[in-house]
Amino acid sequence: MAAEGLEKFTEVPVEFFKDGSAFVKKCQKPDRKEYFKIIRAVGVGFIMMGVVGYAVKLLHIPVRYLIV
Amino acid sequence: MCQSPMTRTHRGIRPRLLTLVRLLDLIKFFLPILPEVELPDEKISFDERIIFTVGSGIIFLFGQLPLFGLVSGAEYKVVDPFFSVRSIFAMEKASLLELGLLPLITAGFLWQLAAGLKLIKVNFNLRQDRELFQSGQKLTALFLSIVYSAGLIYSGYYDNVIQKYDPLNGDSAPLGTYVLLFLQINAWSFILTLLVDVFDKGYAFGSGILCFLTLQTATTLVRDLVGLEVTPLLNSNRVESYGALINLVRNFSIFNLSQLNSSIVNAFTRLQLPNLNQFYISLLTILAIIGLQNYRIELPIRSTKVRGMNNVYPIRLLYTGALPVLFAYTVIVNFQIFGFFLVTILNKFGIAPVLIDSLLGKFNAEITTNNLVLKSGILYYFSNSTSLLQSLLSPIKTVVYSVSVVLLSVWFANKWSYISGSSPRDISKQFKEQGISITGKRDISITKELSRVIPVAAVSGGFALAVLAVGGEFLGGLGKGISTIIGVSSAFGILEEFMIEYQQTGGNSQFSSAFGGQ
Repeated sequence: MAAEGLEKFTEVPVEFFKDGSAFVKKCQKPDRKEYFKIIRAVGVGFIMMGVVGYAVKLLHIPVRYLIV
Repeated sequence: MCQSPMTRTHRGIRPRLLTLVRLLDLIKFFLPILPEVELPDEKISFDERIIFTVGSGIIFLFGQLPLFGLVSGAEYKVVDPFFSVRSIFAMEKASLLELGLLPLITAGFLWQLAAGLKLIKVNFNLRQDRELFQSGQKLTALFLSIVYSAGLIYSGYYDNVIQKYDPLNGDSAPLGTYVLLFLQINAWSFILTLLVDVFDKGYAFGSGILCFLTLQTATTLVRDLVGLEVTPLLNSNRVESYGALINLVRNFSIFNLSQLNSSIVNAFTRLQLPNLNQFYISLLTILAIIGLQNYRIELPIRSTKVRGMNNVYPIRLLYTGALPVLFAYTVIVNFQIFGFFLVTILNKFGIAPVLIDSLLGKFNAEITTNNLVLKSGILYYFSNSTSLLQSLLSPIKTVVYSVSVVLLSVWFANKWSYISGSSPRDISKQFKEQGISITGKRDISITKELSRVIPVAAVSGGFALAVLAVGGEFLGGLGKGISTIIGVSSAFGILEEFMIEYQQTGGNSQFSSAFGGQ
């Protein structure tokens, strides 16, 4: 029973890595052009969101002085 | 084999027990006093959804207002035990968002897992059950928020920043301020549950919690880099800018070479304020995530109704998104927080201090950063490193920490791929309803084929993200890498919903005509 458990204990990760690497190998990967396109889109979106968020945060500074 | 009779009796008894005391029905008692957002009567238009999303986001950001009753600049003076995980859950020091989204996220995971693992019985096809389930989440979130905030206040977390109170002076405990702080934190948690409800009821894009985390990540990233505020350094008379890059530029002086070197080193290593090291970790994480996000297997599908309609159905490597990593850190952070409460409470009563120090954890305050750093005990092994040097110097801790994050996240990814709404069985049901079949497979074997691919994708994706998160932590990301992982992959989810909606309305939107110039 113990030996069986131990075997299972080593078997699961091995199986997992085998399946996982097979999956990744089969995967369709983004090509360079697609990749840069997405980076640009996400980057612009992220920076825009961040700048707006930070602007709201800067508004806090005068408010802080008012209430503290 | 020998277990089967037992499970059978179990199954026989269980439903009856559960109908007697169904946890979900207990929530009915709270429904009359628990306000919630009404379901929309008619379909929310595209423009309205944008407004709801942006509006909720801005309200969320206002949670960073300071707590009333604390001295000014309290966020620099609080001695902070959770410095390394704050960015993951949008926990802002000494502000209304002190607990951030942690109560909501913890409650969400608790209920989802309880339902998924069949610990409670929910029929998601019934509207009433769905509503009770959501109310249950909200109640749990409020309860957790009460527990966390009471724990924080009791542990003396605010004691050195409360106005007109000096514990060393022998002042009596400021009970009024304690109550005030408690009410403020919990009231904001309550408003947050309602804001998230706005998203969950379909008024806005994506999931509320993930949208807020994205917003927080983006804001933090910009602020960390170019934050203009000048903050006083602790225990010194110097000031530094909040943004890492701005600070470097400001201290830049080509004429004084030794100072130049030290200011560059400082820009990468300072711990009190954001440093460039964290920024680069976030940047690399973003690049890696965008790559991983597009790893997919495309299953060829064909229509069973129309001949010659062929298409592909993509199954992503990151099938469960960043949820596994978020789950792993929710568990670890809860462990840390309750550990902290336990240590401080036991210390207050003075029970076996030596034993607590070595067994549970010992917190040491660092003078230069005001961070409470763990030095020993169980909690120490589940805390992250502040720099690469530290991770190399304590290898056992590094290994224990990373293995637990990876295991938690892989376990969750595996479970989630079966219990979420997009399990292999659910997808094959959708296929059947829409008259889709996988090319070269019979209808019956669709579920089989999908369950060969989906769990593997989910688990590998969860593993990859966990490794990325832990890698960032090794290098001293202090949670920034992890929050970036969660933020960016949630952004993809929101963007996807946005695009689908946009295409369905046929680009018919006031906003697009105003900004698109068409």
